[in-house]
Amino acid sequence: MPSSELHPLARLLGGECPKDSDLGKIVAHLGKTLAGLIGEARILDFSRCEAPQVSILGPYFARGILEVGFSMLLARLDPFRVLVLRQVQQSPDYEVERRNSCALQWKGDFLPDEKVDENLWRPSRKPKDITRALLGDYHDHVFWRPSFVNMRDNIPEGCGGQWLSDLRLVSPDSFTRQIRSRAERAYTASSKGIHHEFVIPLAAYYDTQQILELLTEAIAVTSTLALVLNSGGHIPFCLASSEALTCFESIQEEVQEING
Amino acid sequence: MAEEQYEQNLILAAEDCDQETFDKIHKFSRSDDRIISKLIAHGPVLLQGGRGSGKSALLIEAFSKLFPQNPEGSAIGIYLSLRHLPLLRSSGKDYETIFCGLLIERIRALLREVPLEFNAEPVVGSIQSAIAQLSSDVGKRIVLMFDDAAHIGRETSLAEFFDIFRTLSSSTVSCKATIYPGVTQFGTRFDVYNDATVVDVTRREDQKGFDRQFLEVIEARFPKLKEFAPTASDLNLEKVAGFLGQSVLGNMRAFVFLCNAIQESAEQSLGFNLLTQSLLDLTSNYYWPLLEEVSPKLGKYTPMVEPARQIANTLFQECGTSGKRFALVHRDVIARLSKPFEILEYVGFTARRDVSRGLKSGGRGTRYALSPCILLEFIQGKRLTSDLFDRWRNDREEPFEFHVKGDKLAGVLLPEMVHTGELAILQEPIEKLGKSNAYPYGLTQNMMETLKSAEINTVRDLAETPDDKLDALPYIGPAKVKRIRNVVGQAVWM
Repeated sequence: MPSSELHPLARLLGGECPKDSDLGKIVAHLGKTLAGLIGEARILDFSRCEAPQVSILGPYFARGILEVGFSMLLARLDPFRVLVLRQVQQSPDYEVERRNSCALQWKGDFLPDEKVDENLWRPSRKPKDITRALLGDYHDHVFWRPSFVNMRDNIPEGCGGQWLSDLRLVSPDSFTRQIRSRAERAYTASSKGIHHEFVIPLAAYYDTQQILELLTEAIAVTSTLALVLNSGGHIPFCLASSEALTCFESIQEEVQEING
Repeated sequence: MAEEQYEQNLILAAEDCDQETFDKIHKFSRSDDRIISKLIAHGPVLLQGGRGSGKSALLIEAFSKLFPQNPEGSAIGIYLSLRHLPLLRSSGKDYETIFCGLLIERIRALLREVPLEFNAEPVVGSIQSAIAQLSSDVGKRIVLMFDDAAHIGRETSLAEFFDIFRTLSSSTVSCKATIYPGVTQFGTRFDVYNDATVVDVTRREDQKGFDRQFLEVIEARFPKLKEFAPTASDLNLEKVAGFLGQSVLGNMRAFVFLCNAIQESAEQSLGFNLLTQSLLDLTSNYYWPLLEEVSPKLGKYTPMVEPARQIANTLFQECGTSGKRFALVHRDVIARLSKPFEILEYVGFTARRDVSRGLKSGGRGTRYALSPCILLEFIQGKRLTSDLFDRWRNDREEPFEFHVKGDKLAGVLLPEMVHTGELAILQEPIEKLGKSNAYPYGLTQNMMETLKSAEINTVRDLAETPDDKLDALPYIGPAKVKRIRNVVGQAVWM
């Protein structure tokens, strides 16, 4: 892929975000970072069963793809959150050496930090108690379920490759729960590789097969969410269904190439 | 049939093959490789698929890539078939003890040749610690593979198994297990979304390499068929292999049965006449008898086989008459008739393609692909033509809709479930396992007489008789013991 061309996953995640807007600049930056992570992951040497470089860098790339990909999804669904973060990072008080309370958090921004009780729609619930996590219960009902139903009705049978065939066996009610669990598992597995917390050698745990699986899963989860997002009736900057599908299929082809 | 002939044609279940035969006759597509990769990698996986879909083969292939089968393997692989009668009837602590005993024995047997020791008591906590210790000592993560764990007809809940599955899983130990479409009860502690990834074993004609995979199986198992390759210009063996694979909805066991039948009757090139006859034969000799075979091992769900048969007749009749290969069934109908629909999926009459698709007549439903093999029986003229062949190769047809307000499936009523003490098949006399359409490799008359003279009268007696005792009977040697075990395995296990 020529370097000037946008990576299909970045395109799918960013959609038609206006380039000159602040949000467009954030999305463009994240898209470039994502393309870089995938590009670097591709040049790892997966030909050997155990390769130190793969074991050390693989988890980093997998987690990076998840974090950057999810940030782009959040930018589409909750621009307020990333625009505020941008302002904070541009403020003179922002210091890279200090923990930034406003930073995007895996638990809280992407995955809910606590479970909402049974009645989501209780009128007495205050807005601050309504989680805005990307894969939280409210996003599930408001964005993911309707978009997921639209997507499967709009995309013709036989298109979208294996990932979409698998997705057609998931019911709209369980889509978010399932993808949340996949995302959480991939994130935790890659985090353990970054934090070096294993008592067995890193290379034995993060062998080539494991890393390939982890990278595949990180890209598959992010792409799946991005494809569904682009089918949302009330989600801004969606790609046309045909373009979204083309991107989704070319990502799968790239992943197949990585897997050999 | 002569013994050699029998051995030649025997359709082995993957778990009954020795490694050399397994490697020779099992072929995997790119899509299978994707599943194998998930089985080798860390993380809990439930491999879901109907009978003969190739779940065990995938598990065994993954196992062969792990240590100690593969000395270079970066993880230790433990494959355990749970085809063990006492597990079916036990529950609670008893189940745990038997299960753990089998697991310990298996781990010891696998590690003996390395050599490594494995010391644990037959309780989950002890095994958990011993496995963690093993992982740390050897410096490898561990993959536990449980085959045939979830028997639909099991009287007691499967909760114990899924509890163990969950407890044994850790950051260095991952569990993988095969399950069936009808397994929906996981117990209260096991959350199927959080505690495992469910991977469906599906082979669909729109997957890349579908035709090629079935061609490779033909080349490996039925080389004689190459002599009968089609001569028509628009047909070649790969296309026919793909069509045959599609005719059985990608089910590998049915495909092998089909090729066996074609090989036996092939005298001319593989044209539409021979294909028509073979598909019709498979429908009457394999598919419908399968419902009969499955019925006595479904335990409390045995009465659901009759409604399943009624549903099958309706689906195939309506779709056959209107020339459709897909059925879209309203979700309220599925909710009411879920178990019979699961049974049809399990036996390969149907395959789910989409669990939520909009009906033109309103509402949403599940879209099923119907087995073209069975469908042919319901098509006017019962004849495969070039036109039909091409039409079936096109996956994008509109489905036939069964709406909740329609009367087509309204007449199917669900009977009361029977709560018996054990599977009906175990109480059957051994004559039930005689050679028939349901058991094409069943017991011969001589075998049955020999067994009965040794007071082995029921399927249960036979299942519980050890191999050495069978081997000691007159006219029964190791080959016949293997055959008996295979037929008992087919009868009792899913």
